[in-house]
Amino acid sequence: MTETTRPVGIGIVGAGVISEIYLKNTTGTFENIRAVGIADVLPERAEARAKEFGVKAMTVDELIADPEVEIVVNLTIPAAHYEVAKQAIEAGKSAYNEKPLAITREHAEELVALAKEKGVLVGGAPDTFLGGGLQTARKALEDGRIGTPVAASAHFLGRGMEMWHPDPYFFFQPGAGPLFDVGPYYLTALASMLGPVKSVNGFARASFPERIVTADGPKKGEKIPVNTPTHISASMQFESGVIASLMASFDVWEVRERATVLTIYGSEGTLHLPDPNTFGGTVTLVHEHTRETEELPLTHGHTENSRGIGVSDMARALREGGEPPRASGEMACHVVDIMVSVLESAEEGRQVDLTTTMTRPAPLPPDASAS
Amino acid sequence: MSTHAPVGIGIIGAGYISSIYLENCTTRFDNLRVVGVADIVPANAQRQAERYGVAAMSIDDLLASPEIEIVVNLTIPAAHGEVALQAIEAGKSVYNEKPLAATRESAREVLDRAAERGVLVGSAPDTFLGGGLQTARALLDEGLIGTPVAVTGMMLTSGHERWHPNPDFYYKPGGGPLFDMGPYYLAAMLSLLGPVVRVSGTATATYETRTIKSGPRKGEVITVETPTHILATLDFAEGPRASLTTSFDVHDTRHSTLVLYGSEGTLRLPDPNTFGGPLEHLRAGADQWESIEVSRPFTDNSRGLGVSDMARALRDDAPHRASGELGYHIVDIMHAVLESSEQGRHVPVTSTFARPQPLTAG
Repeated sequence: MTETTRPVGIGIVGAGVISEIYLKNTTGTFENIRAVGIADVLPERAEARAKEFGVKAMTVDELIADPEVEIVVNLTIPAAHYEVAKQAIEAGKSAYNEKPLAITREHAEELVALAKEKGVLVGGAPDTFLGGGLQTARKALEDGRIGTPVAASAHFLGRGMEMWHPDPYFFFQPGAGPLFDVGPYYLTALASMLGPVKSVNGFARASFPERIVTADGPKKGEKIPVNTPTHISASMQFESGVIASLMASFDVWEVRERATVLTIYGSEGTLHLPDPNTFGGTVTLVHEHTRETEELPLTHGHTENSRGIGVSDMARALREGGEPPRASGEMACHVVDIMVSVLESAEEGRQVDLTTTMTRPAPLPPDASAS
Repeated sequence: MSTHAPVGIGIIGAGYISSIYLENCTTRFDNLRVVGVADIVPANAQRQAERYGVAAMSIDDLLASPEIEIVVNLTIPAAHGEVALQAIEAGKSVYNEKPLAATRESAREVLDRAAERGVLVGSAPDTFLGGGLQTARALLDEGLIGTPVAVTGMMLTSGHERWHPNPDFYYKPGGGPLFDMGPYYLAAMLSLLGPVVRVSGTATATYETRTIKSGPRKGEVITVETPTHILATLDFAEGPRASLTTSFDVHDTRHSTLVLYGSEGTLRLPDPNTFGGPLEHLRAGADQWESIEVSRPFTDNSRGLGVSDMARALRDDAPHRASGELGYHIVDIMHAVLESSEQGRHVPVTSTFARPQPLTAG
């Protein structure tokens, strides 16, 4: 095996729920990456996952120091994303963070700058925009099926999380709320297709000062103080001139079909996109002049839960160069900037101009095997 | 029983919308009596007068008629303020088509002069008095959805220039989707949730020109002079937040809707440019809408209902529902939204109004 075809070694930090799908996809699904080991602040959790997937259980320090590990996949809690990624980058590793890249604009920008300085790559989830659903939509956009994009709607509405999550405390604290928890899926999908946002304007509110856990489990009946906005209503102006409505709520009851709205409006038609927290889904085109509706056949694969496709793409960039990693640190940082700016706008009562920008990631080539 | 004699009304403006007012005010509201109709084009007044069996009058004669107590002002929006002031100077109460006036200043002058003269001011829309939205009001007041949390309105409809032979007004100041359709959405939201205290807005005119696609002016190009895609967020005094999107640039029937969210459930409201249903209810934790029967009267096109309510108020010396204060608050909000967009800041709304009482049956 030559140096350029040898799979890129992956070290995973954080052995929580989400690590299962990453381990599955980095030990079989993507040929150009291979999980070497996993670490967690709770060694027995790392141990259990390691055994399950046949990788090494390591301490965080060992994992970051391991010469076989080239990309550190950081699946820690959002508040730890910055520290762990920084440690990895300083050790000369590339870093791929779960969303959000960091919970402050300064930390996100610092990671991007530090990676550049150290000559390594930084990137971050979500990578759902590389799934078959959203890449089909991207292709339709590039093919001019809706003409020039002019507007968009991104709405995710529901009443969560205390009804179904056994330990929902963190959802109602700074760094989470619907904007930081769910927002990255919608904002990354839009940014990957429409480019950078110029300014944002909006209101945010915690409709309920506390939540009571009603999900079964040891925390049932516990009161949770709400310390971050849980209902956000905002607008975004993109550099391209597109204006988008953004609504994010944990405070309202909505039916599933209307709970996830992601729509791009163009001069010649409208694209209704699938739930951006999934890889597949249905893409519907409504023609502007005839008002006819057409379900677009998927032109791209990866319609199953392909978390890690962004890591695989980063590994491709490491080995082969060419296009920079699509789930880039620059885009993830811009998404953090959008979210932070929305809350600033709400607090300060003014439109907030963004300080970061990004380049749209290249589309994936169409996949002949897509159904 | 002189206090129960019908209130004489005179209609100024014999355009398209006058037909439904004339039909309803001559047939279904017992407390109204249409005396006459006037228009700057006398032939238009003549035609409508003959059709509905009322007198065709000049504007001056109509304003001078001692039989007329309420002037129903169906002129173009730019003339609403001026015609209303003439009626008030003549000692009449006045009911304007929406919006109350094109500018805040003009709307304020109308309210101030009316207060000085001791006459009433009312303003369309009165669709919030229809059976659909009044059923919603009753359910909200009964606590069906708990405490209101948020309301969303989306009105996305493109391409008026494809079918309307004279679509200019849609694209000029005082038109645009916010001023043309916004009053229906705002009147519905405000009548349910009370006054707004702050707004933010993002507005754009996506296309600089529009080309007329039908009629004798086919091919003529119109310059767009007002925003045609407007995103607004509204902060209600009582706490709820609203998100309102109005657009003449893009079309979306899938998401065009008016929804009221509460702590214990959600109500999907009817199109606020109509009087009837459908109404749907989502219970907390459910994933299916349940259809709700419209239990209040006036479910067909009942334009003029607000005039009839104002006539009742005149006779009983009681407040009326489609009030000038509500009309002013709507104008204030719409201008504040555009100001917010232009100035890049949230804009406080200082006007207020008394939330109208539910319409009692009968």
